Amino acid sequence: MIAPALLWTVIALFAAFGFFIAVRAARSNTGTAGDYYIGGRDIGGMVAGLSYAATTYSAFMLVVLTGLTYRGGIGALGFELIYFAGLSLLVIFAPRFWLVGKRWGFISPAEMIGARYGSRGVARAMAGVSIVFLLPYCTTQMAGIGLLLSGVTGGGISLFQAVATGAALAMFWALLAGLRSVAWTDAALSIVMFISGLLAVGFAVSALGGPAQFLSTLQKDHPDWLSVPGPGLWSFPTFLALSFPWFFFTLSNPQVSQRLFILRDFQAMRRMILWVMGFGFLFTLIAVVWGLAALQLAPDLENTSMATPALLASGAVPVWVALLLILGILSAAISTLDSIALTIGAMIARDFVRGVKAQSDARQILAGRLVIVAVVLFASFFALKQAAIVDQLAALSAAGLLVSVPPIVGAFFWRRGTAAGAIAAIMGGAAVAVWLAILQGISVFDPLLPFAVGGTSLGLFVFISLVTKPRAEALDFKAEIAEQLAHHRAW
Amino acid sequence: MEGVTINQTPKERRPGGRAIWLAAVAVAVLAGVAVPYGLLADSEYVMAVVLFWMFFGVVVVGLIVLGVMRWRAGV
Repeated sequence: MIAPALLWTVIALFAAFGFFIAVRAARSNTGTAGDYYIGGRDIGGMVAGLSYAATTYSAFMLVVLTGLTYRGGIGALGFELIYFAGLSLLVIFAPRFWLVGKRWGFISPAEMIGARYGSRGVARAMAGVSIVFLLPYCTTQMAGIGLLLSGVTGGGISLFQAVATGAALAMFWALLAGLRSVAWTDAALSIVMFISGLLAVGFAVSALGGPAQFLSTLQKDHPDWLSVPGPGLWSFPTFLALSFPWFFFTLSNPQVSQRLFILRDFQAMRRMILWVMGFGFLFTLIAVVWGLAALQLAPDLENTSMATPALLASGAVPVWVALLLILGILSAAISTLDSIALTIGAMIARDFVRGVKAQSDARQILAGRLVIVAVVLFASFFALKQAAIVDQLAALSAAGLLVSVPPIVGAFFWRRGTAAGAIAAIMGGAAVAVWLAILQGISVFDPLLPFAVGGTSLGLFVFISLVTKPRAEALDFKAEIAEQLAHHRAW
Repeated sequence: MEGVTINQTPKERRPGGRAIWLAAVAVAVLAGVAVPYGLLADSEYVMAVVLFWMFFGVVVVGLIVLGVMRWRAGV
């Protein structure tokens, strides 16, 4: 176990470091809404890439993925690599998001899709559905913080204290300077997360006798964990059910796709993708090896989500490395929370509040700040309450957010797509998701759920678009940016 | 319009290769699912699936690099 006083000291240092960065970032802000929500479209490739990585490779990696590896073996690697392959969508969509964002001044993805179809209703539908599925996802990040800090201290830090700490840090960084402070702190702390992860895995494997011995013992004692379906978890249907919606994460999750608006230029876009890719691939390997090491060093855990806290407390990893890794996981969870809160803030400020665009930047920022406080308080409250409905919606988030994919793809590739088709796809798909998962009790491990949601959304989008007409005020993204895409030699 | 010279800026053509690249990504992703659960399901070599997925990850990295390195980054 790690002494609570030691962990509090490290968290205090971490908070001071974050405070310093956030204050520096705040000085760079000019006070516009664009500056607050998307860093004035002036973020460089490395910071954007590391921030994207910290947001997308959240606490999920070293808490949930490690647990899935511990429980089910190498199928977790395949699942995460299919998700990783989804980054290839950036090659096609990142230039398009960036070009239209710059041209029409979009701040939220929902605002962009609404303008494309010439309908504020589309923007609101997309924003509304995103909020329904993302708020519970925030709760899981907060719960992850609680699980981690109380787990490694053996309850010395209570769940309430851990959640309150996460909430205070998340609110402070996002409120002070918006995206710029979140991106800068993300970039710095993702490096901490990566290096500490690498060191922790190195020490854990070393404690098992080195790489050759680690593999040899694994093959001898747990051969099932090196194949699929493995010891049971990764059946083919389960693998499909989890991998399919996660492949589209890059497009379906607005807190991630909004990152495509923040870039300075094409050079920054390329660098961002390369940074995310390098980080993502290596960190996936780290998380999976970590899970397999936990299987040997902390065997027979009933709750596999406790694999990381158990391994950190096992003594195999030096305390200073364990502390760094805890900070890395803590910062990843806070980064995801902050990014979602900022995105929801932007969507509410831009897509929901009537006439807000005509209002001053200060009022748009105020609206966003109020939403950020509300999101963090919501996540904290339900992380402590552990409400079943919130857990169900959080598990459903990947499949539920699939509903925005057909309208997004159609926005750039299908001129015939209409506002009615987009609304039907979003609302119809979301209704099917909630009906199947909540009312019919279909598990997120059942491929029926994502394929029914995705199929309904796609079918409704195509059918309703074909029987309705595009609005006169709809924008033609495809034609408007064709020449710029060709100029940049982007597909 | 005979005898009149029209000074047009030639429009830049959309770069080719997108369909091939998309097909390669689709094949890679399908293989990423089908090979471990099909071809390698009964493999006697215990590390077969692990090594295949590592190779799959490297292929994905290669495809993404191929896609972004061709971009013209200037304004």
